[in-house]
Amino acid sequence: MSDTLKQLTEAVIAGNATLAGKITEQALAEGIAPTKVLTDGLIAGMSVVGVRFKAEEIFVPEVLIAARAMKTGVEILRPRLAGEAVPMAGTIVLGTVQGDLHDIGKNLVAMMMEGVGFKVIDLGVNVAPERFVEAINEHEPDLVGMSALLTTTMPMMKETLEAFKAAGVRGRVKVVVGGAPVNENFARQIGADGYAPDAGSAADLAKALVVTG
Amino acid sequence: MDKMRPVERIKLAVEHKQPDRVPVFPVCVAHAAKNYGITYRDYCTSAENLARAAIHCSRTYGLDGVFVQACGWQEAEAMGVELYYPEDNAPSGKAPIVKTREELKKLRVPDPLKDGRMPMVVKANELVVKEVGHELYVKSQIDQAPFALACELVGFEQAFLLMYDDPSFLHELLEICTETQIRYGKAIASTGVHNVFMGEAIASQISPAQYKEFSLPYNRRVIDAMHELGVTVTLHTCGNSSYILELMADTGADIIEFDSMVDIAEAKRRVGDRVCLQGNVDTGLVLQGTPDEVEAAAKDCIEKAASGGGFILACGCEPAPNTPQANLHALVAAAKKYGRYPITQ
Ligand code: B12
Repeated sequence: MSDTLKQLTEAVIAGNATLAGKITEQALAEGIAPTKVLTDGLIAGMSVVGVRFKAEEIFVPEVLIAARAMKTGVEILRPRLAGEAVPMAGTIVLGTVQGDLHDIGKNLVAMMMEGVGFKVIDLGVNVAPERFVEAINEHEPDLVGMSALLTTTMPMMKETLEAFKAAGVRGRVKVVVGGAPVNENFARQIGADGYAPDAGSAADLAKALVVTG
Repeated sequence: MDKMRPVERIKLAVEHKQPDRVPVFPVCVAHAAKNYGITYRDYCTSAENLARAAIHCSRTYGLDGVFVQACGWQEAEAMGVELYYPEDNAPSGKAPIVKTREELKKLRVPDPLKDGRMPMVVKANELVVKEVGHELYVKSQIDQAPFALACELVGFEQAFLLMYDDPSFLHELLEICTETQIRYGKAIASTGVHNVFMGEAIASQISPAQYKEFSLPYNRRVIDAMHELGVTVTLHTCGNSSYILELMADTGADIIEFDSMVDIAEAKRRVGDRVCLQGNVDTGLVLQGTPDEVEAAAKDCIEKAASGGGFILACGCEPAPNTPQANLHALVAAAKKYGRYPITQ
């Protein structure tokens, strides 16, 4: 891999947004293809961050600044990418379920999803089932992601899924769930399509689900 | 059968001595309201209700202490953050109020006898101390530790970014938060409570180096001020605070309360000689498990942390509102059954 892309990866890992922006421009000036800058530079950096976060080597603040650095690069690439017709990975509607106000984890998931090329519609926290349904109708996403951090709001995931069925939209989206107390088993029980324990795997899962369609 | 007064039992544990048995004191908030049969909103907006519900909860289970905590947002509220109050859930902030230096300049240390619900909490403590202070250990919130309070004022993610982007902004804000805690703590200490409680759930999400810079020195100042008034301090974190146990002990806190993600045997080994440990049965288990499972988990905590004293049995965090009574009874029973001193490891 070129030195420039390696430096870009390092800048993202270090969370240095200014540097990441500069190197992104430099890479383009060197004639490296925008998609390559995105995948082998920016996303590669964010993947390392995901792995280190999962291994508990770094903490939430480091993930936030890395995500910001990646975003800075993505913004510079965006106009160039449009021309190259990189397919968007897909669209995902994300939110923390009703009654629950925890959003740090959900926001990290949003950043990682953006990192791997999803368009993210973030509905925020305390999202009522009807709002999820509205968003499905309005944005026609491929995926819906629900987050819950409280044992007491986990049942709301099930209720939200039932609201999808009642509204006749369940078949139109894949549904993924997550949050500290949620697990694979619970996801299966309530009839979700997938579960991921952390933001990095959430992005992988989302990609896999979109591909299998 | 228990001969010692509960307040003495906890005091001895805090002094690293061995009481007659392991004290048991899960800190109930939403569950206290539910158990008393009132909504959270009614619980957290009236001194009378708060005091009654807290005492009722301790009496229901035979806890060794009473915990007085309205909610985790009331210092922020007294400083100007608008809250929304769900009918039967803890209130929370609508939006951060410190986004710019101008807003920071305008921020004032609230007056605990005038602003927000601070006077209500002071009043509730007066009621509790008067009624049960001779018998039960009274612990009151001064709650959000400076860094946690700063997060509420600027927004959690913003606070994290400020650590990198503008640390001096954050430090200035932390000065005000520290002063807020000290003043509030003084007002609460004057009611005669035995212990004040500082919570910093968010501390489990930052690195040890960040904790050292943005939390520890400020916590230490609040704690020193409380010690000058003769009041002991509990420092509480939710989540996995394994990384920062020593640093939490370095704050000078008398009690460290930590969550079930922390290995209690390891906590005992690392800081058990410096601070009294309070914890750490999983709140999820206490909500969803059987009484037998709770008893087994409590027994495990006692076996790992009680030897030599300096231990209070509790949940890792506040139990969920609809926690079955039988499970909290089982927790208390375990302290009586397995917690008789002397205990050897
Ligand atoms: C920070 C925190 C808070 C902050 C929240 C700030 C914010 N803006 O989010 C504050 C202080 C406000 C708070 C409030 C409360 N909290 Co709180 N909080 C925590 C804490 C310490 C960390 C949560 C966190 O941010 N983790 C870091 C992120 C990065 O991890 P994460 O959220 O798990 O997300 C990752 C994965 O789960 C996954 N993921 C997350 N969402 C999704 C979604 C999808 C689709 C996918 C695929 C993956 C995925 O990817 C993420 C990134 O890797 C936890 C303890 C813990 N360890 O979980 C308690 C905890 C969640 N809180 C708890 C409680 C009880 C509360 C309160 C009720 C009161 C209280 N006692 O503090 C209130 C509730 C308010 C409400 N109605 O929601 C309990 C829940 C117990 C339970 N099982 O029910 C916990 C577990 C603490 C405990 N042990 O008791 N809390």
